[in-house]
Amino acid sequence: MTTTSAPRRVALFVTCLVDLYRPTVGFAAVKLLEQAGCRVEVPETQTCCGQPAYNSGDNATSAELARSVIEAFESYDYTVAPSGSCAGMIRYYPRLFETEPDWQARARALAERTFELMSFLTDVCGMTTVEAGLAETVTYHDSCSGLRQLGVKEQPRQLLQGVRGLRLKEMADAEVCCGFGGTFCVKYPEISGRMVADKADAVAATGATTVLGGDLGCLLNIAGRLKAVGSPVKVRHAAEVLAGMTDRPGLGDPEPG
Amino acid sequence: MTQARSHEFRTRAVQALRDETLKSALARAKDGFVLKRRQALDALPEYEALRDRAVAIKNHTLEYLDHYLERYEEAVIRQGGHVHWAENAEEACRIVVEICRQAGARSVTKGKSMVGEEVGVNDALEAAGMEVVETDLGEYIIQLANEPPSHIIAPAVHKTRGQISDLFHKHHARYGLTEKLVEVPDLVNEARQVLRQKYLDADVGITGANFLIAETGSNIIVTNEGNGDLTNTLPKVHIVTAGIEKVVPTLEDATTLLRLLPRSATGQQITSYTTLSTGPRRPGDPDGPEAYHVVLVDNGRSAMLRDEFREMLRCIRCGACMNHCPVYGAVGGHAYGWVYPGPMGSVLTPLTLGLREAKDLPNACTLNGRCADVCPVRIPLPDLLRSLRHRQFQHQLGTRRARWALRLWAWLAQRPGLYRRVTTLQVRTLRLLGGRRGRLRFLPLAGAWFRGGRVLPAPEGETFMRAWRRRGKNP
Amino acid sequence: MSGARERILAAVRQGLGREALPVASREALDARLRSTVEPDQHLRPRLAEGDIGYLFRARLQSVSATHEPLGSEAYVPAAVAAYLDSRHLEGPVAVAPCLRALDWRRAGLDPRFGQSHGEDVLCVSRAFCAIAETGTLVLLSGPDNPTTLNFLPDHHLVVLHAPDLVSHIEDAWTRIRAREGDWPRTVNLITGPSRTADVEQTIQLGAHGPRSLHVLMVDPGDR
Repeated sequence: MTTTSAPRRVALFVTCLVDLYRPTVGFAAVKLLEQAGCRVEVPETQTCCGQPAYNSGDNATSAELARSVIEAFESYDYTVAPSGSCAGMIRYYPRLFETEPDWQARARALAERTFELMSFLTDVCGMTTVEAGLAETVTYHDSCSGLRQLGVKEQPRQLLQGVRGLRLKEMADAEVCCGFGGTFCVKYPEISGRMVADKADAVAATGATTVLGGDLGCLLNIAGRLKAVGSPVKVRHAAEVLAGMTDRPGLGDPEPG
Repeated sequence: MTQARSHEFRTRAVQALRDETLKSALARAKDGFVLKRRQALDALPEYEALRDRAVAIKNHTLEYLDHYLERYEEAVIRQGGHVHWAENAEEACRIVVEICRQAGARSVTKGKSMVGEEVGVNDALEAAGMEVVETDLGEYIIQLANEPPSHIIAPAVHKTRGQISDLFHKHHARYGLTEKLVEVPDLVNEARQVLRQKYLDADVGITGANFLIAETGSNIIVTNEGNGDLTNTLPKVHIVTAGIEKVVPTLEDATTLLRLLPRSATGQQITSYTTLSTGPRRPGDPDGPEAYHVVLVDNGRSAMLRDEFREMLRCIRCGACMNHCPVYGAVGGHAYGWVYPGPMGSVLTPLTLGLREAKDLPNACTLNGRCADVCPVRIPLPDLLRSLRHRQFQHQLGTRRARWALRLWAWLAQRPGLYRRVTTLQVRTLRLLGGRRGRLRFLPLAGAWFRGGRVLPAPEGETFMRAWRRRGKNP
Repeated sequence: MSGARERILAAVRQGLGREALPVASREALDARLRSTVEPDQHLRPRLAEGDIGYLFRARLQSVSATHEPLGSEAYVPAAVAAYLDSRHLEGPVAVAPCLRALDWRRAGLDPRFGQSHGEDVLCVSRAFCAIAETGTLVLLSGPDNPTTLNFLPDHHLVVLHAPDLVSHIEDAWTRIRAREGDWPRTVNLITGPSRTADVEQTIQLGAHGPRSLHVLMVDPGDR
């Protein structure tokens, strides 16, 4: 798929939620990146991008975590995360080093080469289709950071069109926040609960059997609500479908048998 | 200053969420505003360029605010008007009350003014023994209900037709209007009838200003009902209350902003009435006020020029941010506890009333960014909210528990080896608790997640990093 | 009070991190104030191709205003009489003094010339100009054209002369500046009748101002 002689060296930023909750998404990301002709590595020292601290106003802690990420990832051609939110956080890194020009330059260099998975596959690697099938009607939730900070909107839809048998049915207010918001969902659970209930209703109204998205935080939230009200709608990261790795039950669904 | 209840955000938000009437009112309003704005902007190919120009105009004006305020003042005086300066809410109220007293005023009509709400001018006038009548229908409704506005352009957006019918029935009996009306045209007509007499009887009319024009000394108000015009034309004294950030250099500058304001607010190309008032009536004029006063209010604005919050002074009060805010859409405007709700209010309130009083407001936001997306003057609202969180953090205003949780997490995240061992254990435990169901219905210390009416999906059972290493994938 | 003025201006300057502006800068800013040429002409919304009269009438319609063509201003009284008749309106009529010279008696009308006090069922005023971009009438206050006529009646009729139709809002400012005398006390940009959506977002005409707005477009060429 690529035309350059040397394959792109891509570092996968797994994200803490994928690491903890849904390793399948990580493997799906690796598979897709390799299909796109990248050489994928997973830096060993990675943990957290620092977003919880940044969004809580603790810029110093956030900067400390950012330094670790910069050191671990700056030697690669690209850094790719299966999350608009975490990739977006890395794009914010230069802001954390306003008084440290050296670090700011390093932060900027990393930020410029950091991408959300699906937009990286299409916009950088030129991927137009995938080798996968799913005979279902799905709907897609646009996660806020990906959508508004990184401009991820058409890329996942374009790739999903290449999935055999898949039919995409848009939900109402697909671009409206699901109410996750990182620590927001536990700081203001009642408000968050109303927002995700609205989201779950919008999902259900499409009649889709699976809801997809590009950020595990939102997906855990949406699954948490759908499963609490006994909805059969499956919740998955879009990468699972694009990589043809849909053997596992959806988020919050029981193991078969 | 209007009594603040922002510190009660949490409890008021939860109460609001339980209010089914409010829920339907908010849903109706939100859908209307969002759709109409979209349609108006789809028909304006110049929108993005106009936004850029609007930002440039506001930034330029703020950069030279002292100069433009002086030029504006000179122009007002040249046209026979008076300019008063108020550093804070109390001073603004004192000035307005004094003008009214000197005019021998007993009755005062008011056009909608958010600065008026901000400084609490109604209370001050009533305390001075004057009758104050809000004339914007929405403001009139909430005045009868004795409530603050819940939206900056649609103050009574939270009220249903039934509630308005009850209010009118209760309060209009003293005018001999005893029939209980329920249909929208009838309600509007009844208010028209009652307020018409108030306009004619008023001694002083107070309006806000959408823009102040340095070139001509005019104030511009943008309305649909015509209430602002009856308020500034009929009484013998017209008082304009305006924040100092409302000044713009020329009418051409105001025109750019006028092309954005109604479209962003109600989806209108232009409102029914856009009115420029410049000084008192001229020789030979058969109508218009005999005296024209402007009260320029600082109340914390000059301090916002110092840092990143200067961007907030670009705000033209269109309300698009709240119309598109999912938190506002869930809890409504009253939960925010002061006159400015939603995203713009969550920035302005802490800056005006203090970080402690408005502790929740910068945090009660998912930073989803939709507000910044729709802001016609490109105010980076989420960034400003994050800045406020940073200030709160520096002042140690968060809960001790949240601070420690964050600190522990960060400490752990900087020790990858330990982090791996802890997360592996965590994931195994959660997996075990989730069992075959694949979900948890409760988890100690994480009760808040479940209070949102959610279960917690169980993890797969092994961390990615461990699985990856086991497969020996890294070269 | 002057103390507050100085303190606010000082606080503004402190916020901006500078002293009062030097004379040269102030002169540059004043030049910007005087030169009302728009820096970005291209930011005027592009209007649909063709006749701006057609666009103006379409805009009027979209804001629930009505209009009728008249071959001459002399026909205004008859048009007003017909308007009253067709709607079975009765009651006092007030007319802007600038239209006093017309033959109202021949149309069977005996209007009052001057401001309104609120009892009029219909008022007639004359537009200084109108804006095709938005379907807006521009009315200036003055002895000849009292402001109260624009807001107190149920029915507001406005005489507009075809050559006074301009394309954009800025053109109206240019015209007002070009006329003799000071900037007017009141400039009313009126676009359709009074309306409100404050009860359940339902649009209702005639909130506090006129319930209907009717434009009498005088165009001798439009015969």
